[in-house]
Amino acid sequence: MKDAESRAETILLIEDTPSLQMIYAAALTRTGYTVETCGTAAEGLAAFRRLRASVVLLDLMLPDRAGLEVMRDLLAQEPQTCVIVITANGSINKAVEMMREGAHEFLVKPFDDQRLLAAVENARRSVRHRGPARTESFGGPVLAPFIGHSEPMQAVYDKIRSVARSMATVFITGESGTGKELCAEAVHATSARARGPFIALNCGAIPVDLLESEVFGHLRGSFTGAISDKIGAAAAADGGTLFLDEICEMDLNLQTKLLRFLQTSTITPVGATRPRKVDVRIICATNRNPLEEVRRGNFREDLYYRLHVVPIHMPPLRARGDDVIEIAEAMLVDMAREEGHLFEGLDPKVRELFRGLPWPGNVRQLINVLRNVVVLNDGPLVLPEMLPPDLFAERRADAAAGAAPEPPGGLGELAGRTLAQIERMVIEETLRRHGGSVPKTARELDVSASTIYRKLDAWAKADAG
Amino acid sequence: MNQMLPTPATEAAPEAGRPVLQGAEAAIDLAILGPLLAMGDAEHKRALCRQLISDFQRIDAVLAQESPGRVSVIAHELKGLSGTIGAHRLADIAASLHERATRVGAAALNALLVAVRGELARVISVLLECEQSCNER
Repeated sequence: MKDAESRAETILLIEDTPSLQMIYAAALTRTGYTVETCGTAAEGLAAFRRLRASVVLLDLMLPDRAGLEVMRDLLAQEPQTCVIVITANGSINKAVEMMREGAHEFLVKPFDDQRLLAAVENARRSVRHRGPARTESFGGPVLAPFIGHSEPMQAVYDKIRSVARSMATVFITGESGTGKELCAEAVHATSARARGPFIALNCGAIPVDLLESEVFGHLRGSFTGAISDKIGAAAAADGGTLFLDEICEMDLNLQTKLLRFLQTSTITPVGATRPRKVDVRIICATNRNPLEEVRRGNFREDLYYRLHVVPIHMPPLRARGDDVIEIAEAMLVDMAREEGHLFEGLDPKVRELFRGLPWPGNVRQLINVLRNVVVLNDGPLVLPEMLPPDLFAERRADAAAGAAPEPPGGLGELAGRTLAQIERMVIEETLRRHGGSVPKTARELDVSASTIYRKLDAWAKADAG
Repeated sequence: MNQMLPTPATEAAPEAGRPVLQGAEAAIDLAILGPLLAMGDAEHKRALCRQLISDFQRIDAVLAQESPGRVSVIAHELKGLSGTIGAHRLADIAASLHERATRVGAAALNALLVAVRGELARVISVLLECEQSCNER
């Protein structure tokens, strides 16, 4: 009954083809929704101002304005609105762009009424779970469980917060140890699905032969060794989030099945004959360049575009300014408590060293170093002599496997590089010296801060593929 | 599979117990159109039939003007609408028209338009039968 009451809220449908208006409206009204239909952007915006509908179904191609512009207007008036974009196959790229701009979900025509209802229901659930409490919990300068106030991480926090209201697939890239799974957990925790399960699966850690069964499940007797029914990760994540780590390691045959799963929201366990609907948000991650994997033929292009809706690039620790100190000191206290040793902080020389190290293993490497120190020593400060000797031997050049080029030690190191590469090296090194502060970096380089932001954004997108 | 293959509506043989949508087996996938019509009462069914016919005729009128820019836009609408009601062949050739309308010469565009409008006529014919059946009941 409560559900029926909540369905009394009006769904706004902006669609210019009258027959389609009738079909969508009929599917919704027979389920108990009230629907207001509009055939143009102007009518739709007027109705929105009057109704303040929290869920809007919006056709991408309207006679008087582009759907993207209409959505921007809607979200500018009511940022919490869930906009479900309706599109034909040929305009998927535009739909992806709309997801990045804040659309909740997109439906590709032709779609069945079940898919439509599921999308509207998801949107309503998302609206119900939003509120001031979440803003208080997650609206601060740092998004738990992350540590660090650097500007690259602020951009990550902002992106996680914006994507939380959407059902969009998130594609996380970044070097090993940068916190990709933590990012996936944060996206889940800030979303309307937070009360649902978060299921993580490392595609690179499971033998190819078993991966299909791990993802989609199997029935007893479907293959040798299948002694009982097994629920797969996709079914286990029903109502929540499925995190597929190291997605580029997935076998090509299984990629085809994953694509079908993404297109139909159905799974067919190994040995089963009938598919089953599941309601899962997908987040995936890789430490490789996914576009490069597409070019090499290791990753399906159609799957890449289906997954790569909202990219989030996790910055390497060396690009996070003083975050390395903040993380080290926070972790040090926890570890000291666990190990029963007394540590209060880092010696200034250690701080300086930490700031300058390349950290090829990123946060994971930092944690290992600290664990080593805490287990073998007593505080109160971490001194240089307590650090593992191989840490001193690391040179910044050792981090070359990462996306960011190392800063130059002299002109000899610049020779052979493109001007664009040199520009990036100079900007990143200056940022590092200023603890990640863009305004200070801009002042030193005598450019505007917006120039630096624009370049950082472009590099992040390029690194994310 | 046969029900998705287009054949002229006039060739469609009446089927016992389902006289209304006999032509639909040629041009429209009944498994898709049927549930859409059944989503409401008899008035909804009649109104939806009428509206579909009206929309398809409006689209046909635009196609008749043979203006490549307008054809491309309207073909996009046609693709979405025909796919939604299960007119798969029409959806496929409308998609082709949408992609190629502004890139091909007049002769090729004309050939595409002939194919689309021919299939469109078959779909409209089926919908007219459907509407007539609704009115008789």
